[in-house]
Amino acid sequence: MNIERQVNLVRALLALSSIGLAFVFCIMLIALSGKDPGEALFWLFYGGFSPALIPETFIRATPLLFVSLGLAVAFSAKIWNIGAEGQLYIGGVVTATLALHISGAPSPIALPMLILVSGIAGALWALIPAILRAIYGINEVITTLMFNYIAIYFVSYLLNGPLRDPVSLFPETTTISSSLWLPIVVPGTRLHLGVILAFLIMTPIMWFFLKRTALGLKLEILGSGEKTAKYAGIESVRMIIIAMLISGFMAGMAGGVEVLGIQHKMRLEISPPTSPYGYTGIAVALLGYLNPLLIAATSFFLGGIMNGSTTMHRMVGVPVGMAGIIQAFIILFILLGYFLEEKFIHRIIGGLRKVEH
Amino acid sequence: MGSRKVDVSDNSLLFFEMVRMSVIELRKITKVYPGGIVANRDVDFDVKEGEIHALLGENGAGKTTLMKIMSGCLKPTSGEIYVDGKRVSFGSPADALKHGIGMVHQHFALIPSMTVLENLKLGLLDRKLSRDQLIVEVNELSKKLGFDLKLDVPVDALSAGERQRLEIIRLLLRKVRVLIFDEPTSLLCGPEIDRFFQALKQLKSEGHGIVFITHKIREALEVSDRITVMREGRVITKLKRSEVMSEEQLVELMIGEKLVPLPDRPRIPSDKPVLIVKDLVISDDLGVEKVKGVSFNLRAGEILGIAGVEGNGQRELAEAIAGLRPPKSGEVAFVGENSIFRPSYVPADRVELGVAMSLSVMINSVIRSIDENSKGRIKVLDFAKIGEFAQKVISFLGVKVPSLGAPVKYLSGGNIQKLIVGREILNSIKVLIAEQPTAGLDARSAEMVRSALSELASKGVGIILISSDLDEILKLSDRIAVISGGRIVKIFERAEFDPKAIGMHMLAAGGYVA
Repeated sequence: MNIERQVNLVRALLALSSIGLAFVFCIMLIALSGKDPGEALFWLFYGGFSPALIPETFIRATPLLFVSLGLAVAFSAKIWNIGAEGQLYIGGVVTATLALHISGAPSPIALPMLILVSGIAGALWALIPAILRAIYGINEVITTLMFNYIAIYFVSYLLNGPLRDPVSLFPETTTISSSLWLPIVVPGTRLHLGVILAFLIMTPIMWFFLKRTALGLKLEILGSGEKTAKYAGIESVRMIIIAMLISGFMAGMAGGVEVLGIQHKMRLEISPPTSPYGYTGIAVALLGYLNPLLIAATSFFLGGIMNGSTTMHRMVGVPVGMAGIIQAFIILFILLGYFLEEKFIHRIIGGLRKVEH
Repeated sequence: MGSRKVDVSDNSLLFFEMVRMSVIELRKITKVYPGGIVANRDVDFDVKEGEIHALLGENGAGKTTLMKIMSGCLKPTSGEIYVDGKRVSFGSPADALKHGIGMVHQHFALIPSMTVLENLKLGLLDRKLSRDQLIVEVNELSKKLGFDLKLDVPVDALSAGERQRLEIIRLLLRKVRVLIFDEPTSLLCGPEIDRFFQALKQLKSEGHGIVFITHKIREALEVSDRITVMREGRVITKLKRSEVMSEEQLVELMIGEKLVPLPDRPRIPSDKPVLIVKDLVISDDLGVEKVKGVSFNLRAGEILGIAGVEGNGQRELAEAIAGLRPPKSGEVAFVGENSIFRPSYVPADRVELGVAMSLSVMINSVIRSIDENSKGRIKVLDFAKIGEFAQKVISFLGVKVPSLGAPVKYLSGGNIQKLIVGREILNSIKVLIAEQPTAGLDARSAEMVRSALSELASKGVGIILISSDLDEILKLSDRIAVISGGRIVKIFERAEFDPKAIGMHMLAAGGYVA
C-alpha cells in the first residue's frame, strides 16, 4: 500500500471516530439535561438527513459552502481571513439594495449581475485588510475580525435607518421583486439555483483552481512559507491580495445568494446567530482539509446538524444552545483527530524510514 | 560542594593532575537535529576541577551544541552524561544547575529593564536569600573576582563586559562548579578581555572548572590548560597546553587538511564572464552590513570557490546574487540576460528556503519553474511534464522517496538536500550558486554531487561554490576567493592553492564575526 493511501486511510478512520466520539459526548450532555438521548438524536438526524428535509439541508449548507470554499483559498496561502462574516453582510446588503433599485430588470441579465456584484462587494470589503497585510504586514486575523464589527454594525445601522422597510417590525429591507428571486430548481421545495451554483459549479471550479492551476499551487507554496515562496519566485504581495479577494468574493456571494434565493430581502439575521456562516465556514474549510470536494461534503454534514438541532429543540426540548454545543464538540473532536493524525502518520513514516536505511 | 574544595596551593601539580577528577564527563554524545543535521557525533568531553578547558573549532563545528547539551539546554540524541562519576540526565538548564553546571550564553539571558540586583535575585531560583544576605554575598564574590558591580542600575545601562560579570556572579550564587562560556570575548573590547581573563584565572584558582568555547586560537592558547578541537561535529584532538606546538598546528586541526586530489575535469580556459559583481554592499535582516563592497567576475565554465568562516557574508552574498536580497548598493549583472534572470541556487537553508515542506516531492522538483510547467492562458499545471521532470530529479542523485506524491517533510534531511541539488543542477542554464551543496550528505552522495558540479561546469555553466568544507573547495574550484569580514581578501588562482595560506586568510584579523 503506498503512503498516500495509508495516510488517507488514517485520516478517514480518525474523522469517523472523532464524529462518533463527539456524539458520545452529546449523548452524555443530553442525558445530563434530563432528556432522552435516543429520542433527541433521532430528531437530530431526522431534521438533518431525512429524505424530505434533504433540500433544506442543502439550502442551509449553501452559504456555508460559498464561504468555506473562499476561505480554503485564503487558508491554503496561510492567510487567515476571519472576516467572511462581514464580507457576507456587505455582499448581502449591497445585493438587496441594488435589487430593490432595478426591480424591473430582466432576470436573465439581472441575476448573474447581482450575484457578481455581491461577490465584488465582498471582495472589496476584504481589500483593505488584504492591502494592510500584503504591504504592511499587519496581522489579517485582527483586521478582518475588526472589519466584521464594522460591517455588521454598519449594516445594522442601514437596516434600522435608511434601508428599513417602513412597515416591518424587524430591521430588514423591503422584499425584492419576485422576478429577481433565484428560480426554484425542484418544484415543491425551496431548492434554488444558488444551491446548484454552490455545489455543482463553484465547488468543481474551486477544486480545479486550487489543485490544478499554477496560481492555486503558488498560493499553496506561499502557505508553506513566505521565504520558500520568495525563493520560488512568487510575488507574495500579489498572491496575498488575490487570495483575500477570492475569499472575500465567495463570502460576498454567500450573502448575495442568500438574499436572492431564500430571504428575498436583507435581514440583520441573515446569518444564524447560533452558528454564523462566516465563522462556521472557518471550521468547515479546515475540517475539509481545504479540499473543495471534502468541503462540499462537510458543508452538507454541518448544514444537516444545524437544521437537525433546531428540530431536536422543537421536538424534545433540548435547548437551542445545545445545538451549538454539539457542533462545537464535533469540531473539537475532529481537530483532536488532526492532532492525532500527525502522530499516526509520523509512525507510518517512521516505519518507512527504517526500511529505507 | 564544600567537601570537594581543591587546595591549589599544592605544589605537586603533576600528582595533582593525576588524581584530579572530572566534575562532568560526556561520553559518546551524538546530537541529530530535526531535519537530519548531525551536530555532534560520538563526542567525548570532560571538565576537571580547577582547569580552563578551551573548546576550539570553526563556527558550525558543533561546540555550542555540545555545551548546550552539557548545560541541559538540549537533550542529546544518544550518549551519556556523568557528574562525579554518576550517570545523570538533564531535563532542563535548572537540572544542570542543581548538579553545579552553568552556562553563560553568547547572548546574555538577562532582563534588561530590571536592575542588577533584581536579576540576581531572579537567578537564585530555589535558593532563599534575603536582600541583605544577597548583597553581602554578591559583594564578597565581586571583591574576590575584582568586579565592581553597581547593584541598583537597570541591566540595559550596563556594558557588555558588565553584563558578563553579572552573569558570572549569578552563576556563582547558584554555587556552580563548572562554568561554560560561549564565545565570551566576542562582545568585549581589549581591556575588558584582559579583565575577563583575570577573572577566569581567579575562578580556576578557586577550583572551578571552566569551559571556554572559542574560535580564536590566540585566546585559547592564552588562558587554557587543555584544548579540545572540534570539526564537523567530531572531536579531532585533545591537547594539553604544553603539547601545542604552534598556532598553525591548531589552524590545520580546526580547518582540516587532507590530500588535495588532482583536478578531475578538463579545465577549459574561458575569459567570457557570465556574471559581474561590482561593489556589492549587503545588509542582513537586522540591517547589519554583512558584505562590504565585493567585486568579482564569474567566467563561463568556471567554479569559483568562496572560502571563509561561516557568517562572514557568504550567505548574504549568495542571496543577493540569487535575487532574494536586494543589495544596499552595487551591482549584480548576468551577461546577456535581462534583469529578471534568476540563476539556479542551492541555498544552505534547505528547510526554510529550499523546499515547501508540506508539498509533494513532485511539486518541489518544479517549485522554481511552475509557470514553465503549466500550459494555456489560465496556466493549468502540466502534470505529465512535472512528473517526468520529478522522476529525472529523483534518479539524478538517487533521492529516496516513498512516492512522488509524498510530502517532502517525510524525507530525511540528506534526501531533501539531494532533491534540491538535483533540481537546481538540472535547471542550470548559465549560473549556479551552490551554498553548502554537500552538507549533511554521506560520503558517496557528496562525491556524486561534486562530480555533477564538475560536469555542469564543463558544459559551460559558471558556478559559485560556497562551502565550509575547504577540501571540497580546493578540489573543485578553478579560483578561490577568500571572504573575511564581508570583504574578499584574496583571490587565489588554482596554481597558487595552498590550504594553509587560504586558512590563514580566512582567519585574518576581523575575519570572525561574532
